[in-house]
Amino acid sequence: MKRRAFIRGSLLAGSGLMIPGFLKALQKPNPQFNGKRLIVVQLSGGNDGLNTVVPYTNDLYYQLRPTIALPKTKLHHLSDELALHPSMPNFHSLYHNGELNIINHVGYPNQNKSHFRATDIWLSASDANENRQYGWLGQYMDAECELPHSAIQSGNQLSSALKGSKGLGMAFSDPQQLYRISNESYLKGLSRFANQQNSQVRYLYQTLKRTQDSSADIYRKYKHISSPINYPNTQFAHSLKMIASLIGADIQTKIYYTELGGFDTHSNQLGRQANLLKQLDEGLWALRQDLKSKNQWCNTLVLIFSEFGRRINENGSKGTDHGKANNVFLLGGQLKKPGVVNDASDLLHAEGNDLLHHLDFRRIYADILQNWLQTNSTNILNKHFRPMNLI
Amino acid sequence: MQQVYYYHLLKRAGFGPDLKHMMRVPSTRTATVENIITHHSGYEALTIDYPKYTKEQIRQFKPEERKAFQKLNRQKITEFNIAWLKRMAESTNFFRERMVYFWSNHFVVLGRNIRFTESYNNTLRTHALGNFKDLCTAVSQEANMLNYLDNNKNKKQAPNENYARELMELFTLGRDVIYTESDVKEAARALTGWRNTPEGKFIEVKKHHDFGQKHFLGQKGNFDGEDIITIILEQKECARFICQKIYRHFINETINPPFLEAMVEVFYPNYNIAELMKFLFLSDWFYDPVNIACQIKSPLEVLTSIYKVAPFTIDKPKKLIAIQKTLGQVLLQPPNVAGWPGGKSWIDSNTLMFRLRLPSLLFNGGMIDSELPMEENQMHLKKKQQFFKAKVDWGALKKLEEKVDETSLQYALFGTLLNKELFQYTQDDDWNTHLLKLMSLPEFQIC
Repeated sequence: MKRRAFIRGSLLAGSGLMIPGFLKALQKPNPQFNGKRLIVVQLSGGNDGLNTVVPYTNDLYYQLRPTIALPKTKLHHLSDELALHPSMPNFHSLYHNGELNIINHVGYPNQNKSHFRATDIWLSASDANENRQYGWLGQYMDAECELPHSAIQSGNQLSSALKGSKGLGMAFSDPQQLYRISNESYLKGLSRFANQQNSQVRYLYQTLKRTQDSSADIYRKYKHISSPINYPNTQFAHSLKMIASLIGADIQTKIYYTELGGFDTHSNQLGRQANLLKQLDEGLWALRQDLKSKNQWCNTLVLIFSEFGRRINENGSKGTDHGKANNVFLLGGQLKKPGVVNDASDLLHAEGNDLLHHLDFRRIYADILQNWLQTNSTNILNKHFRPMNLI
Repeated sequence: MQQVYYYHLLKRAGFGPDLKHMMRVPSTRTATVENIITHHSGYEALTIDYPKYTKEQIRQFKPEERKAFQKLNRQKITEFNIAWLKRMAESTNFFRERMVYFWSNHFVVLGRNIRFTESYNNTLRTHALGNFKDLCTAVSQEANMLNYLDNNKNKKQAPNENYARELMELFTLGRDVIYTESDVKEAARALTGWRNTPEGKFIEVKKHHDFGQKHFLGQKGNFDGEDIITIILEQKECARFICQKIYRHFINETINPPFLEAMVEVFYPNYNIAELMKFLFLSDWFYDPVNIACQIKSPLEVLTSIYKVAPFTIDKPKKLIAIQKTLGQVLLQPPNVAGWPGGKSWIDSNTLMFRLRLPSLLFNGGMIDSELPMEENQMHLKKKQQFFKAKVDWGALKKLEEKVDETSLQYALFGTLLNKELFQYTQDDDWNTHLLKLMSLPEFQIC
């Protein structure tokens, strides 16, 4: 692994510490906020894309996976060549509704197969031999946002995708608990001591105040929102339910982030992957129904990715090992060109049983940044990537 | 010296003042610094127990054995993390340990083998206060580093430039400072053949080493890796680069150029680390108000500073890992080869809330301004969630209350005195609660 060119993404770092600007941002609807929201779903562990979007007419698939290839009849057919995993009937519906994009062969040059490093690359949008301090969405927030809750992650720790120089982004599982904790009486009373000479101390007081104001604003609006939908009883689905309610609460958050883990299926893949994809499928369908009921599905874009795909051949333990290129999903109520995006006829085009990429993942990011979030994607990504124009 | 300066010195040369320090009347600056450098810098290896397989055994592992070996390594590295944390919180050799911590975020490495990890950590410890050349050379020959930056793949037949490049870019000179791509290539050639055995021993494999003539930084010769390091250190830019790092860690994020040059004059050309640190600790600039209470604590310092004031034990040591994770710094797991950037990068809404609440989560079920029980056996009377089940040394706190006056306490906790109104705000009938309130202030996040 080469680690050249450590780049500090500080080109766009503003100071973002002006409290008056922050208060204004909270009180008035931000004229620049176009109401479009991005939900990022990270599948951690390296989801086996080949068993998710299956080239069911390709003999090689069955030859290389004698025990774990999925039988044609159980799949949800998308076309003459591709079909979805049995656990994904709702994705099938989304496909027929024109609310799903499937992008195949996604990766980047010199693709890395270590979870740690590969995840780093996807989250910071760096090259394979580059180290970046900030995440791609953190860089976006540095350029365009002021509020701590410009991005909300379900969980208790901010993903490095959301880390930027301004320290924006909030992670929580329960808006009420967050509100209670940050507005605990002792901490609440500290706000009058915010005006300090020591600049480091002042920075902390400001961050505290902004966190308290954000959490109060969020909770105040959130608690009135209900969901008419029955979500499955999984942690993942609960995270989506919270996200849908936050969207319904009309807070000014543009980016939501959640994770579903467990995809590192080196052994006994079939059962585990089926279960996880079922969670993904049912959870996202519930989200879709919920957002539709709130008239927000058309304003929502969901990005689903994993840090790498897996090898075409099965290993000796009824599983698969780390591979390279994978597919990426986009879901939403307003996709310009729904369906399968790129040619899957050579889906098994590989090198040493690692699927090769045809498409750099940053072209998808560029599309999202340029066309959905409406910012200058070259500035954010530090490089020009031609947007996909799916959005 | 005055207390405020004494505590400041302890926060930089170690991990802060504890009860003993707070009860002491400090001596002169010279005597104090001399004492720290002489009596608080002893070497004691940090080791834990684990089976040490021979290289034959390792090479002959069957798949299940290999899996078990990997699992063992993960567990042991966790154990080592906690042992190291404990060492930094408790050791009387705090000056050496402080330097180990500093070097660990300079010579950054990430490994998955406990034997390599333990060896690497103790190599930092051995050379932490000595000669920088010895430190740099020893680190370059450690198994963890050879693996992490691929120098163990570097051979004459197929050179791998990764380590040569990072050695200059990250560890000695800085990005593109005086070296060129050609120098990287030549340095890589010189570094060929350096390997480690599966047991973690350093070996030089002659058949992989390029014995030819190299041109490096304007010099010509049949250089090997040690020669490369020697030549690099002959450049004053190397001394300056290291002094910049030391300045930012020990003095202030913002560098004062004249003082930096004064440091360089001390450090170059002998590269004696203890001598450089002595120079810092004796200088007036080190104690300038602008350099006191000027840094945001790293997660490590958050934990050790709580421990110094209110020593505690935790029922499940693994919870200390969870705490490190939430704070954003897990020892032995740097985010990438540049290490932790520090400063404001530690702070976001989540980490700040967690820092402010950590003392109360440890000692009072997450509540800040309700009364702390005076006795442990009163805990069950309070209906609180025991998040971390930490046991505080209440006796030590009682001593703190009785023996340390309020002014000293504030200097110890904050490096400065709180303004009157804020101090009033932290008052409480129960002294332990008052202390908890002090530790829950943003000011306590600064050192």
